[in-house]
Amino acid sequence: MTANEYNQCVSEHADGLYRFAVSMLSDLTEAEDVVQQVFEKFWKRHPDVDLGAAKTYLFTSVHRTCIDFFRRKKTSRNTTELLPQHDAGISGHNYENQQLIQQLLSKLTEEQKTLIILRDYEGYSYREIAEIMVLTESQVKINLFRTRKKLQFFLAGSLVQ
Amino acid sequence: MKITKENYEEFALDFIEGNLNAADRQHFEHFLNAHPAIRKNIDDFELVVLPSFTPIMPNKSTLYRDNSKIRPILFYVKNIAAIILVLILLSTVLIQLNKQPTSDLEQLKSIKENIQDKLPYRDITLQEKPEIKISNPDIGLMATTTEKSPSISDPKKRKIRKALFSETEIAEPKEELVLITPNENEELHGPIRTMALIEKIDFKPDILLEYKIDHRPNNLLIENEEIQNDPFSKIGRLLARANLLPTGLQEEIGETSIREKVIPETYVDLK
Repeated sequence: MTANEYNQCVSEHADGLYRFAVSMLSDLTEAEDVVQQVFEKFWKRHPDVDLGAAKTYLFTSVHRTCIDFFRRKKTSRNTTELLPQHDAGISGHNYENQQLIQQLLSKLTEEQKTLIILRDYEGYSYREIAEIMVLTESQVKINLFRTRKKLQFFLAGSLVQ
Repeated sequence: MKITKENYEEFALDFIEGNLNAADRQHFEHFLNAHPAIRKNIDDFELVVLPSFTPIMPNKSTLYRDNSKIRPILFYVKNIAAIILVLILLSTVLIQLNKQPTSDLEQLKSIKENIQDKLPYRDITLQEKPEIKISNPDIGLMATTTEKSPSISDPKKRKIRKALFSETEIAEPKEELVLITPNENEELHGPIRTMALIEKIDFKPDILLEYKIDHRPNNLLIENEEIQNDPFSKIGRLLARANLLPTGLQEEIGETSIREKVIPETYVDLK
């Protein structure tokens, strides 16, 4: 991959990777750090990475780095406290929705959270998700089905409240 | 695949999203009809999808890299200095070479002619001593070789040669007769391919080897012959397109040969 192609990857994927990291970590500052780190490593290795495989490479790297963050901290977090009240990156219009979504996501396991984010936000196919998360396609389908049922259950509960 | 209570979840999302093909969809319907509790579970399922969320990566501009390399002027100065130094060294060497007396040059030329006279390959008698294995992984050509090394018998000449090429190791001029036999079990028809790998005997880098195909089997039509000979590689390659002729004169296959001519350092141009 050339330097120009690297810059093209920044243009095309930086926001998506940031969204993925924010959803995973529920912390804007940490998410930004993760994306910065991933692109730092990506720049060092970019001559060896094929442009066609770059997106999967980047999302896999963010996924792994987020898991490293979880392992280092090993603390459960209160999502609503971590999200800022106002942020230029998130429009006011969907902020309430976003808060609700973060609450729902916080009730999922890390694997379930990753699955649903990659599928719904990034539009990955089951096969691609399996590749990023090192799972079989069947495992992805089964886990995603269970995750959606869980989300449905939590959403119904939160709407009742 | 059979749908069971253990694996139905694998198909559930595809069923709900309408991604199952007609046959699988029918199987899944049959399964649901046979398991009412699971059907209720599927019927009550609502596809909860995360709503749109489009944050923008802060400080995104810091991620871009400038790929234009601006080199300091010192880089060019260093390069120019290196080139000038090499030119000075080259001119010094050339001047020294030109200072060599003419008589020496003539002597060198006559020695070269004498050595070349001592390298006629037609007088060689072969010793039946199979030594070298040459095989072709593609079509199973097997080859054996017999070797004869005609050394320069005149010790005087040897001495002169050694003196002349004291800087380098002297290789004996020799000729190899390489016999190749096609494997009858292999298909020989086809595009140009490696017919044989030729392992160079007494390989010394930088020694020029010449190959010449002297005889060909009567039952093997060889076209587009080319021998790739890298003087720095121990392996030479005979590339050719081969076709097996229908009626075989199998007994004559043994006459196929590749002649490998090892030319020692006399290939150095003394002119």
